[in-house]
Amino acid sequence: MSEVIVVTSGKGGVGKTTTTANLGCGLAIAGKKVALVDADIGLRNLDVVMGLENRIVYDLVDVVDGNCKIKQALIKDKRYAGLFLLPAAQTRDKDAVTPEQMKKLCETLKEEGFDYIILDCPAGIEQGFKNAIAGADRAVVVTTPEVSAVRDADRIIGLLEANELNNPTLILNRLRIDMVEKGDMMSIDDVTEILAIDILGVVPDDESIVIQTNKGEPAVTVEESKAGQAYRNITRRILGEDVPLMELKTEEKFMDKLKKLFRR
Amino acid sequence: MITFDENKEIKPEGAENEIEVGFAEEGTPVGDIVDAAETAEEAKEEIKEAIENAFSLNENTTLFHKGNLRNGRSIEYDGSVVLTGDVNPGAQIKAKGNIIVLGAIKGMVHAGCDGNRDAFIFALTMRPVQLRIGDIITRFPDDMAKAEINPEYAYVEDGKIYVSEF
Repeated sequence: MSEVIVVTSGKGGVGKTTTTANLGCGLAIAGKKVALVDADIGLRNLDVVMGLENRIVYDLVDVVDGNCKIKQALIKDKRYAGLFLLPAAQTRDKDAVTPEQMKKLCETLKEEGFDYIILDCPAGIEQGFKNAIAGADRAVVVTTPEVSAVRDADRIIGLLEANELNNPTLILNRLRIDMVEKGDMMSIDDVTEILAIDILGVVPDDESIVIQTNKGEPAVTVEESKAGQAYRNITRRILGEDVPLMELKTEEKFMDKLKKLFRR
Repeated sequence: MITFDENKEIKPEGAENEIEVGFAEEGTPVGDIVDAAETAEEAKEEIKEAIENAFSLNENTTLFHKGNLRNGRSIEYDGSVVLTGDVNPGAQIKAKGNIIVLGAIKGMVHAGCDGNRDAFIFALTMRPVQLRIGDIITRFPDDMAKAEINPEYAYVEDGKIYVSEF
């Protein structure tokens, strides 16, 4: 059985593309056949994050317009056999496709035998968002522990429910536990209290994400990366396993230990 | 063409008189002189051919574009394109003729886009995501050194795209 998952957020820059890339790689590592679809026409990034930019010949708009077959446009990942990317067109805009066409595209991908089809939704609530959610079976909402991002996530959840995409799950991205402990940042509970949806995972703020993104290799592939571990857990949860939330604790720095010693 | 026979003589094709290469001093590599003459002649022919091709394939129409081509922008043209500025990643040029970029190519550039393999691409800095000439596509290595100014041109030979220093 195949499933179409849309990764959305409302606000830009919270980590939709990074999440899409990591989930895709994670599921491919687990042996699933995965298609990543970049629905952000005109501002594509997923190909860059995946390090597949230089392999693009045809894109989503070419497929929808019938200029090529879907198999010609799907780019095979250079690392994992079961992972494919359908890139967005860069020189067009969101109006180049309609929600009906996206629905049809998702159906075609299902027929191709993909276990998971993950759509990277553009920021905003306009045409691009409507296109991305049209063919989705379930939604994953990404947010950061900031008031503005949570506000936008709330709006998005409302729109998803209005479009009969019920029970979206939440990924809380870029959490800094040291700031939460000091009371400078919203905690997991604060966010879930406002949004009132099931939490799929918490990803700590991790510099390895920036490093891996610039390298074009998702962090999920890096064993020692904390964010990578979080994405591996999320992948397992998507596959139906019951994995507890990762324990996030601040590592005591040498100076803090010294300070503690003197306080005694 | 100049042919080179066993007697170390050069015979220009169609020339009535044979020219002897006997005037060089001892120790001067005679063969090298002939080679140099040969390559110069060949280069001349090549340039002539390239100019002829350039004129025939796009009816001598060229689009001039001043300034950078940023991400998401594209130029599509029936003739050749000359651009003063950079072609950024995510930008693209598609021309039926040749493409000359007086700047850096960091995006996708397609010369001879209606299938003409005789088209060429020139850039002051050649760091494209992808190059296409005619029906041939080539992608560049994932990790390339920082872009430096180093004029290069790309052309097709034996069904492959080659990039050479200019």
